[in-house]
This record gives sequence, C-alpha cells and structure tokens, in this order.
Amino acid sequence: MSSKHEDYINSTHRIGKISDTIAILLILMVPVVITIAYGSEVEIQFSNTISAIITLTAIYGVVSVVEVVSFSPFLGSAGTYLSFITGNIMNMKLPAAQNALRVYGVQHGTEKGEVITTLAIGASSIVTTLILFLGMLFLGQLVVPIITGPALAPAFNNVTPALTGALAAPYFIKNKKLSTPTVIAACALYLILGYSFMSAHYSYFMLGFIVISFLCYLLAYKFGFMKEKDV
Amino acid sequence: MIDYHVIANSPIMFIACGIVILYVLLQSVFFMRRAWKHGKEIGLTAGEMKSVITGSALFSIVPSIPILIILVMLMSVLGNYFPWLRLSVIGSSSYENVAANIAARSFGLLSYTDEGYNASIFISTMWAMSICILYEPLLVIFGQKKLDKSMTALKQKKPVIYNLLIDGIFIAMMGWFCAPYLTYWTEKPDQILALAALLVAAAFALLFNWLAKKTGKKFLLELSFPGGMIFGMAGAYLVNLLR
Repeated sequence: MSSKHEDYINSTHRIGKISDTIAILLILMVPVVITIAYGSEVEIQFSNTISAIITLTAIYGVVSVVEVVSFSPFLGSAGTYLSFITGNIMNMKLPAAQNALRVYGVQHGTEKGEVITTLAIGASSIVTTLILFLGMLFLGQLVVPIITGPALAPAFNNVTPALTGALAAPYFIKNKKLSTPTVIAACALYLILGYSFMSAHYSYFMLGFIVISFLCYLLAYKFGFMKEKDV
Repeated sequence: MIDYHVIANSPIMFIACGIVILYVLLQSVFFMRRAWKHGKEIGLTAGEMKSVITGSALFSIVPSIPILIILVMLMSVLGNYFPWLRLSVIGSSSYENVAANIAARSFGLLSYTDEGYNASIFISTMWAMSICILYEPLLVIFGQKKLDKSMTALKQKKPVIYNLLIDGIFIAMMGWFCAPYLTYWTEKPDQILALAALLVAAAFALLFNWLAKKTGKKFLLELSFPGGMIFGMAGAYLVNLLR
C-alpha cells in the first residue's frame, strides 16, 4: 500500500468517525426537539417507550452485528462509514459497490477499489435522497398508486428478487465450485425448515450459514478440493 | 391532547428532519469529493470515475421505488416528515415498517394504523425508531478501523485465505438471499413471480456479460446488472399475465 493511500485511509477513519458521530447526534436531535416543543401538551409514557426500545433492540441488535461484519468488507472504508449512515445497504449500497468493482475489474481492498466503492455508494445515496425528497413533496402520491395498481404491481413487487438474481448470477458462474453447494444447502434449509421458521430466525441463521460456509470452503481448500485458481 | 398530525406535519418537524437529511447529503458529497481527488492521485481517470458515478446513479433509480412505496405508506399515518427522515437516513424499507408497528404494540395497539394512535405514541415511536437504528453506525464508529486493519493484515499475510473469505462470504450471502426466492413458491404458489424475477434477471445479466465479452463493448457490461434487473421485473410481469 502506498503511503499516500495509507494517509488517505487513516484520514478516512478519522473523518468517518467524526462525521458519523455528528450524524448520530443530529438524528437524536429530532425527537429531542419535538419533545421539548410539544412535551408540555403531550404526556410522554416512558415505560412504554423503554419497552418498545427493548423489543426493537432484541430483534435488531443481532441484525446490526451480522450486517456490519458481513457487509463492511464489500463497502470499503469510506463506503462503510457512508453506507451505515445512509442505510438501505442490502438493496442499494452493496449492489452498487459490487457492480462498480465488477464492471471495472477491480478487486476489494485495493486502492482503486476503495475509491470506486466510495463513488458508487455516494452516488447511490444522493439519488435515493433526491427521489425520497421528491417522493415526500409530490412524487409519492403521483407514482405509488400507479406502480402498486394491479397492472404493474407484479413487476414492482419483485424488484428485490430481480436485483438479487442480476447481482448474484455472474459471481455464481465465476465461482461454480463454491456457489453450487452453497445455493443447494441454503435452499435445502428453507425447504426443510419452512419459510416462516427461517424468517423468524433470519439473522441467526444467516450468521450461522455464512460462518459454516466459510469453514467448509476453508476445509475444501486445505484438503485440495479447491485450488488457488478457484479462489 | 394535541392531535399527533399537528406535530407530525409541523414546520419544526420539517426543519429538524431537513437539517439531518441535508447533513447526510453533504456527507455523501464530501466523501465523494475526497475519493475523486484520491482517485486522480492513484491513476484513475476522470472519465472512469464519472462513469462509476453515472452507472451507480442510474442503477439506484429502480431500487428506490420500493422505498418510495414504504414512504407513502408510512406518510399516510406518521405524517410527511418523520418517514422521509427515517427512510433517507440509515433507514431501510424493511426495518421502518416493522419498527413503527413494534412501537405501537408497546402501547397495546395492533399496529400504527390503529385508531388509538395518538401524540404520546407518536413521540415514543420517534424515540424508539431513532435510538434503535443507531446500533449499526455505533458499531462502525467503534469497530470499523479494527476490522479494516485486520482485513488488510490478512490480505498481506495470507492472500488466498483473504480471497476465500471475501468471495466466500459474498457467495454465502448471495446464496442465502436467493434461497427464499428459489423455494418459497413451493409453500405459496403466488411466489412463483419472485422466482421468475430472480431467474430471468440472472439469465439476462449473464447474457449481457456474454455479449460484452463477445463484442468487447464495455457498455454492455455496465448494463448487465441494471438491465438484468429490469428484465427480471418484466419476467415477473409476463409470468403473471400467463398464469
């Protein structure tokens, strides 16, 4: 790694930490301001609020750890600081970053990869923010009745599977030795345990599945079932 | 008690939410500007970087539409501005709807669309949704540098294991995301549309890649992901017509 890039990465961490901390404080500012402005007219029920926070923490605490550990290697350093503040990672930021790297034939963890993922994630964030701003103003009321209507709903209800298929297929084909048993195992789990059960324990299963898959790949490599060129 | 719609659609709410969104928008611009400057230093051309930005911006339009649907859904109950904030900053379309419902349930309601929803529950919902969305950025603030350093060290010391980890995690993750779409139709026949979307999108993404290789045209490679996605949606539409 060149010294210029090392400096860039170090300053990215410093700026990322500071800018994300400011963002967190600003996010908390919203309920603080509203509570101060309207607190005298509204009876705030603390016990119910804490109960909601505890329930949400129980559900999303594990999800948070799984997502940060799984997603951040693909987003780059600056991309990670940006993505975890702008959100919609799985359906927007991760595909944007991965696709940009693939199109330009750049590897993760390289100097160019770091720049490309940041640009892709930043552009994606700006577009979503602008669309949501227009959506809040007028676009939502205009467009949503059309795209959720009976004619177009089958297409727009399936944006996520279409996105997943288009993103995954080139990687699956490129890494057939890894992907074939992985997809079969994931499908078998869903078929055996059922969709409802899997959805109810989604994060735990996802974490377990990723860890076990990686250990299997590692064993396959150690025992010579996979060569260096397959990786 | 004051009607919660008055709070939800108040100018104070608009200004508070607007400040946060504007800050995050500027944060994106700032990070991109730094990356652009650094890109030039390490040999990326302005054309290449412009192309990355344009490609990513164009791709992002279609996946923003489901978020827009959730926005309109939440806006009808929680007012115009708080859902706008929640979905623009950290939020995800899957989290916000569930979080708003859980907050309402803590007050004995079935969902946030219940008639009993009032200003007290609205303010509590704001607190609960705002606090619980912060775990991920907090983990990033405190853990990202360490995670990054250990990945860099692994890459230098054991490059094969590093590649296996990166490719392996991504493939396991993608396999995991694909599996429900590949199997759920066996339980719920309507989900055949999701299967069609996934398979058609995959086929067209591969077709674009193959054409790009054959013709040497880079725009076909750039088109493979967004193009595959659009064809996948069209596939679901056609399968629905044929049912």
